[in-house]
Amino acid sequence: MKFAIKFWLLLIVAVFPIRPVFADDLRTRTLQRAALEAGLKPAKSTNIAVDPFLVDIGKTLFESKELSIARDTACSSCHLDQFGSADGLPVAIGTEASGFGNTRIVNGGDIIPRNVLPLWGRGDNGFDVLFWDGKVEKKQASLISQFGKGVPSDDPLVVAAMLPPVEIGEMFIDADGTDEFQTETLESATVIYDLLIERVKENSALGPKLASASQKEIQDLDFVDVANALAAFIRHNFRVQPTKLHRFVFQDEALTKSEIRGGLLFYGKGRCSLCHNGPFFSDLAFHSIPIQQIGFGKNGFGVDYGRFNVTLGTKDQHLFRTPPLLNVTKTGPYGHSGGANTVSEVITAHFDPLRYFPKPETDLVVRTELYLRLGKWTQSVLPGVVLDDEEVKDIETFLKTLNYDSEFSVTSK
Amino acid sequence: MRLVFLPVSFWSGLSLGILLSLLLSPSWKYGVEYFGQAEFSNLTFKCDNAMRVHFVAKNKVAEQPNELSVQELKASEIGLLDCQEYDLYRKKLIRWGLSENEVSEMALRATEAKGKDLREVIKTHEIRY
Repeated sequence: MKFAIKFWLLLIVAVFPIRPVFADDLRTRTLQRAALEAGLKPAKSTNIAVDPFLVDIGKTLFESKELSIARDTACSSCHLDQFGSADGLPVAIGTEASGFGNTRIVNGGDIIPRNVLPLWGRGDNGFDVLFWDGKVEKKQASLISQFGKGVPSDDPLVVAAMLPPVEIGEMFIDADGTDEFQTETLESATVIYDLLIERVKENSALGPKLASASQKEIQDLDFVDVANALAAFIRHNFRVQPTKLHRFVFQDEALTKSEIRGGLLFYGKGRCSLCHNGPFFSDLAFHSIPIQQIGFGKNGFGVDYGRFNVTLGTKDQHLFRTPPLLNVTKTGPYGHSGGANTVSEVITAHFDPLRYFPKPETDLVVRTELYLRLGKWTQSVLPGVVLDDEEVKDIETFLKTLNYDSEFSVTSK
Repeated sequence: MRLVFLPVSFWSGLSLGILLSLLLSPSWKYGVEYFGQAEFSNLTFKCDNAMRVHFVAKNKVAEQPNELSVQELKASEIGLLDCQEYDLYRKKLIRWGLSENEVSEMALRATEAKGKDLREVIKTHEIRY
């Protein structure tokens, strides 16, 4: 009897294998090679060493509301651990808000027209294009930013860190008494920087530590020293670290079947890696994905011209920088104005943008903008990609292999 | 008792077995086709699509020989794994007892699944030069 059972079991195993082993091996090797060809590098290879004293005071400044004129907003108000260093909202709620996540909407505050960008890899070597529209960009030896020729640093992350404290509604309150600073000029920004650095100098928890870490006398501190410290913290805390995909490619750690399927779709027929490539899973170039526009838009009334606002070149209208994908599954909603709620939704919007949107009741301006963005999209490599829902789920599963945790936990009071 | 009935049982059992195998074989095949058709149709489409995309990507490299076209071609090459998936499923159906002919019939059903009228069938079968 036992022999009979064994016989039949062996027969079943021999005759009906689900998939030959060689096929799995082919997929594993193909995925590893595709990831390398698309620019995946060992995590440490892009890291930049930073001074631990600067990192320490940088973290304190990152969590401090002293950097907003009204003392109501810190960097960590919108860059939170629980939302993968973003804020969990479609568009940011800046000054005059309180709480985290949805609470900020309920409590009310100044609405920023763009989705908060997470910070993963932002300070690593080669991450030279910052913000949705690339308003800070390092091109060879020069750094292009709103500062023009008076750029305070040749480090794009330092320049980027200088912007939120003077951005109206982001950390600079739009209220009576601040009108004189709302000229959006370098002169206004300089006055605000002077006010803020004086405040930092006078703060016993911030001034002496920043002076010491900056190796300066306290009276010699400039706001760029604050930005240097913030950049050091961001660079260190959110640096690229080994993910499951890194371990799969460089150490042969196994992936699940669904992760491998998703990876092959990502580098294969999904064509995701044609733009989401390199060590940060972004070509740091500008493209149009017709995701629903949420909110007022940078250009008003539901319009956001994206890269055009920086270059004024009409070919750049409606283009946005390819979002990096490290920790992407933690950072929803997605798109420059958070028009896609879930990872599946945003993946689908890349190849089937009309699946969920527009609805008949969608505002005419938003629909018109959609047509313009669709026009740009049709010139891209994405039309023609066909993925079913199961494949989209597989890609989402693969994207989870790009997750990792930051070194320090960020707190917000 | 056993000696008397054993030969009878053996021959009846054998006959019954042969009869059952003759009767159940078409039912088994019908079952495999019924439960396998949806997945087979899906894989047939995916392989067909992957081949078309690859063909277009190759032509694009010839027309526009740039880095993006080459990347697109490489992506389409990985996409051809869908055809391996199709081949493996085809072999699996054969292992489950279907003949090549019966699997081909399933493929025909897959390609004509969306045919709403005769024109779709003509499109599939007409000879083109």
